[in-house]
Amino acid sequence: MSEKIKRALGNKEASVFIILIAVVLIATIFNPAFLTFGNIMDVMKGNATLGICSFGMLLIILTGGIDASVCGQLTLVCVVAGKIMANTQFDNVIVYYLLGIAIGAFTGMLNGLMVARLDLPPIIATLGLDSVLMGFLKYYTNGTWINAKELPPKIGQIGLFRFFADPNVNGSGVPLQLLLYILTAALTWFLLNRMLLGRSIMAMGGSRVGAERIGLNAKNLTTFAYMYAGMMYGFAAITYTCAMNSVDPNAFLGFEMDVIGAVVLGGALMTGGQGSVLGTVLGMLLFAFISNGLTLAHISAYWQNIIVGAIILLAVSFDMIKLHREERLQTKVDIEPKEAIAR
Amino acid sequence: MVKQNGSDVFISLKNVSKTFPGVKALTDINFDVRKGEVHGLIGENGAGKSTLIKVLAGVHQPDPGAEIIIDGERVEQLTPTESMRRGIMVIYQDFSLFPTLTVKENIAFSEQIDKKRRIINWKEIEETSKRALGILGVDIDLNAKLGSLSTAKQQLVAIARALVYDAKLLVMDEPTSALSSGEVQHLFKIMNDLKARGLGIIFISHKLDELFAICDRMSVIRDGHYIGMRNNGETTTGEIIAMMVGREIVEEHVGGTNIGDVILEVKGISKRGNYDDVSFKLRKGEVLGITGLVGAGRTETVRALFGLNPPESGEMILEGKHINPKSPAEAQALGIAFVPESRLTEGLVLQQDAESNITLSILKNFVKGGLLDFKARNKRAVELIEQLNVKPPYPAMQISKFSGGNQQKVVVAKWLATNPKVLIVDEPTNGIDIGAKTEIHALLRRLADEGMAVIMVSSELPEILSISDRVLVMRRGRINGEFDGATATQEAIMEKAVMAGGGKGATA
Repeated sequence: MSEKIKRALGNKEASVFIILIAVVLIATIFNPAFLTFGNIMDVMKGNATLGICSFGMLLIILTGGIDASVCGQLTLVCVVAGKIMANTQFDNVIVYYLLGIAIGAFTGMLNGLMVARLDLPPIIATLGLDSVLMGFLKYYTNGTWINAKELPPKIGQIGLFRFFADPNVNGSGVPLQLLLYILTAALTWFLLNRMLLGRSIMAMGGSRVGAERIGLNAKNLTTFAYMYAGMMYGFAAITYTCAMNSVDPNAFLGFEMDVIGAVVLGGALMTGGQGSVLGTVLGMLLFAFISNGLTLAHISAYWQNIIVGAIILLAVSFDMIKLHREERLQTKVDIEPKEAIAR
Repeated sequence: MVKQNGSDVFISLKNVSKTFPGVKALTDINFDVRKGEVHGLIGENGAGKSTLIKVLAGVHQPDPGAEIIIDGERVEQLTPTESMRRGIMVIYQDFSLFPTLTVKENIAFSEQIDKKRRIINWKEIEETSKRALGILGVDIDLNAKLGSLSTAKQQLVAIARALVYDAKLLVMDEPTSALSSGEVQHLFKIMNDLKARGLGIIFISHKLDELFAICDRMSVIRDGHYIGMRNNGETTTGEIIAMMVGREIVEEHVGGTNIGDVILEVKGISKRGNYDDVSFKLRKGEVLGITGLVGAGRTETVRALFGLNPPESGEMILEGKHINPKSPAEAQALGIAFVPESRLTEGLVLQQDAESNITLSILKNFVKGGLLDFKARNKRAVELIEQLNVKPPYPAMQISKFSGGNQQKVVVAKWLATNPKVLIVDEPTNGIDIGAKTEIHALLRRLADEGMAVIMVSSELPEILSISDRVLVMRRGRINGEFDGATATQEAIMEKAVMAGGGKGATA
């Protein structure tokens, strides 16, 4: 029993959870409006895109990689889907979801092939793809928005949909985006905890040599992780387009940092093999609550960047310091106890 | 189980050779392992043990003409899957486990892969891993993260993983290298149990006392050749050591001509998990050889002198002054130079030319008014290239284009440029051809005769014996023997390297 408690306390998720509670308490003290159903639902709606993307990033970080092309991949799907919506007025959202997932799978696969097959460093491969995509999108859109008037009316209606909403109370009910977020969380959890594929990715992240020795194909597993991430971005992009009822080609500049931040705050190790859906959910909540809490406390958005960035650096530094300490204390030579010689 | 000629041999290898481009790693190995025996496999580093294991595991295919017979049946091609299917399980030295997964997954994961369970069957994992640990009779929390376990427990997990399959032959590569003596005893008990169940075990170890404690038979390989097999109880450590060392051609011993006063004294330095209570004296004009098996703490000890691995206790006295370098820069300022083992990664800037590499450690000497005096730098580099006979003598040639031996001379030159009082070289002729080796030995000898104090760490006994005035033998973090370089023998040194302190040796 004590083992179990020890494990729970030593658990990264547990420490993130404690910090999260602290943030909620402090934010509520500064502004009691923070801990209200309406505000929390708004925060969840506003951060669903971030949350969905973070599950894709989680898989990539589990392989020991990183993805700097979140912005490019998301924007590509938003712009392509938005253009089709505007030009055809076709309004079946399911089809747009399938299209977004397909585009994401393709761009994700490009990343995966570059990393797994060509052995490019993940940061270089994904930065390169991001640059290509963003360059193309700027050229194609000239930076202009697609606004609500151009989009089919149904898109915006879906974005506003809430479950259990009281028609007399503005902003009541559970936003659709929260449900979609929970859906992707459940899917990713099932993949990582119940499927051989997901467990294989966890195993490979912990020891690539070991994984290959038991017959796992590390290249395919890595490629899959990037594809899965792309599919999550595609899903998130359509969700976002509906929620905003517009397309802004510059909406996601710098967004990859938020996504990576949420995953890292959730306890995932940048070296791979360690991280969980629960942790990533907590990391996203922490990220979202800090931002929202600062807003409600009337603190400038610039400060939010500074604080969030500092927390991420602290979290990663803590991991590295721990790693270095373990390395330093590691036994290199098995020294024989003196008594053994005296015999 | 009726077998022709009623043998209880599980696997036998006949005429197994393995050639890699440019190297013959194994030559005509003939070797068998019986059911229910522990067969020791002994050899120095680079003798060919790992290649042999990889042939058994199906990772390497032997050269044509080899025969592998498993359970009386000739196997045409032993692939990794075929090897596992036949019950050959290799536990690598690094275990190849997954630190971030749980114990039960580590044990039973490959079964899930084999059975193609797209959805993980956690119940099956639980049962399989329980069963495997049950065979070992050990109690490990199935849900603990592997990375949180001690090395000894991780090893048991690795063994349990092998037992999930119907293992018939267990190959254990240096399984005791990270275990305490109590843990080793526990491992031996488990090995005896497995043996009683009819498993064959190949036990690879450097440690003779352990081999004699657990093995039924022992085979020695050296330089890729099978030297011979002995039954435990019908041989002595002396015989095994003689088989390991062989009669290699030894360069003639060249002693020092100009040995002076003690320049460096090390008194009882210790660092947990690195070295323990190490003391020695080093004289001017002397070459002090430090040898021992890999993992004996030789490199860790000399790195302490260079500020890379400072001791937690003990004293170091250089020319009568206490020193305690905490960084290479400090050590260098004190007049200590260190040529590391891996010259390619630690010693050289491969993209740059010879001149830049040679003068790297003394660049500040050429700074005039904040700018680099290239003429002076070139002059010094040319001098050192001449002094060390670097070939070809082109300071502007990129370092990666030099041969291994000449690269090594450049690394030595880099440190000579700092005019050190104490020069430490770690495996100075690693991967260098014979001719260049002799040249490096002559160079080190000359530097000593010119008044430098030289410490040479090496695993190669002929090298140690060729130029050392004195030889220290380390074993498990301590100095286990000291010899006079002129009279020491390979056998005596090897005995000190592999046996606990009691071994008889010509102590100087």
